[in-house]
Amino acid sequence: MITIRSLTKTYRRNLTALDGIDLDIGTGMVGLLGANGAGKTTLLRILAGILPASSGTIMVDGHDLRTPEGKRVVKRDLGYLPQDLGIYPDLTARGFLDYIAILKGMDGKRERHAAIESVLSLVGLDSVANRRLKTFSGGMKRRVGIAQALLNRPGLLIVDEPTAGLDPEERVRFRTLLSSLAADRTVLLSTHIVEDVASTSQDLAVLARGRVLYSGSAVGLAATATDRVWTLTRTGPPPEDAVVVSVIHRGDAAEYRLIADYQPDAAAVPARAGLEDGYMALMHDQRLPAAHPRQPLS
Amino acid sequence: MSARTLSGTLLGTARSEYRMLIRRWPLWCLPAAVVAILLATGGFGFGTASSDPSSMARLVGQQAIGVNLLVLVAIGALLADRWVRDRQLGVEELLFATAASPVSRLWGKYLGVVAAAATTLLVVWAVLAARLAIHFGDLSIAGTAALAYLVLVLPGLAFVAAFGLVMPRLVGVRLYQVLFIGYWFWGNLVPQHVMPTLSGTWLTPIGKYADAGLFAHSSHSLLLTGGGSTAAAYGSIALLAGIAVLLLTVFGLAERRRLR
Repeated sequence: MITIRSLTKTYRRNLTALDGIDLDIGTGMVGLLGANGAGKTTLLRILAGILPASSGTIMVDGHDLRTPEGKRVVKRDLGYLPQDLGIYPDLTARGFLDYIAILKGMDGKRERHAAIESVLSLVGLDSVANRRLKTFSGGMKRRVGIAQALLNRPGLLIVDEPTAGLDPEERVRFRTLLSSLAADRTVLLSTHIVEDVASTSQDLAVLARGRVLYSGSAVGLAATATDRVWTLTRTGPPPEDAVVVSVIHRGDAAEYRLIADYQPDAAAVPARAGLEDGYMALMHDQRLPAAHPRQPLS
Repeated sequence: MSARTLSGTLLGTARSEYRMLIRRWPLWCLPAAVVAILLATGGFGFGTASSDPSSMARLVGQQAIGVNLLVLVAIGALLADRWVRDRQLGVEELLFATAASPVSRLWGKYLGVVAAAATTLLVVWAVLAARLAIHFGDLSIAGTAALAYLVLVLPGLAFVAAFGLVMPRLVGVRLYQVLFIGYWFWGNLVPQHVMPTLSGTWLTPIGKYADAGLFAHSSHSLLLTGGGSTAAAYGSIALLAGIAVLLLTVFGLAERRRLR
């Protein structure tokens, strides 16, 4: 269980990355959604003990991350896949995992080797384990990244943009793997790709400009767009008052998926709200001034 | 954190660092090229040495100084990126997220770096020693050469490797390499009476005090503050090792504090 209260992080030149975050994260897969620069990676780095918070508290299973001892205890049970994964190009996959396993405190040679073989098999890299990492493709390196995160069977797994740069097949494989891992641990998945969260997470939080805009179930976020989603096929640009979720061009016409409080066009047809719709509606709403009147089209 | 885990981190890091560094072709090619060029141009000559043991010792010491002066500088410049490399490769964040002590990692990296560079230097030195043994037809030179490797070459390497790990973190790799190479030659080639430098003190990493005191190379006496003696030899070796340990200890504590 992760409890975050009033967490702030301010960098030099008064750049505020996190502004009073309150979050409770339980077991299972939890998505962390937000645009680039929302503060997701900063939050994850603080949770991983890499970055100190400016103020606020973080408790992970009762351990205070502000203390060196608390950090040490949490790190022992942590698996972390950073957004920009670095590797040692001259080491083999097995050699790299062996080194990381040692750093994670896996001193027993037999235990360590068993763990390495297990994760290599899990990510499908056992046949290339003795190849140097510099020969690996981007997807293979990402798999090495998830493998190293799982070495110590962590109770807390933090993955930051794990599917970035992967082809569709790799992305599906990753999502499936992450979902399977969430059964008995906390998996915190940070991404700006709504589809990744929609496919894997029951609960999620949405960050924007260092603040939590939403915290709750994925179903709940989708529900915020209920009766506000429309599809419209027309030639020409979309209605001005509507937020465009997607557009598919078909010849001269375009099929729009829109967020609008009222029917944006006589030809617009109501559609069922999904997670992406809820996210877009939330982002749109938080940009509106408080007294913005929502007027129906005449 | 248990002592077993700390030693595991240290040895694991040393092993990985050794594996990575020993494969770098410049670590082999550069020393080999330097020695090859010197041999081709008459360097590492036999001078007026005879097969007399003291004459042999002076020659062995002289050649070890030559290795330190010309080969160690190349290796010292090559080692400049080993600590900062983790940040350059983007591995640092991953390493920080583990519970491993940065102090243990630093010492592990240091041991791995020294072991890899020592391997290269050992091969270079073994070739030169074998050449001496063949020329003078005396296999007992191997013992003198081994001693020279231990007390002349290794202390200098230990000193240079410590600076090579720490200083680039403060001034950057390229600037460190330029300053290191510049000071190395300026400090070691400019006579002390022209411009006193640290190279005329026990802090000289090329081993002049050890050579003068243990291998009786009298010509160094003119270059050394206080001349050469056995005490000065051991004092210089101890000081080089001590400075290396102190530098790494302070740096390790600073890194640990930074990551708290």
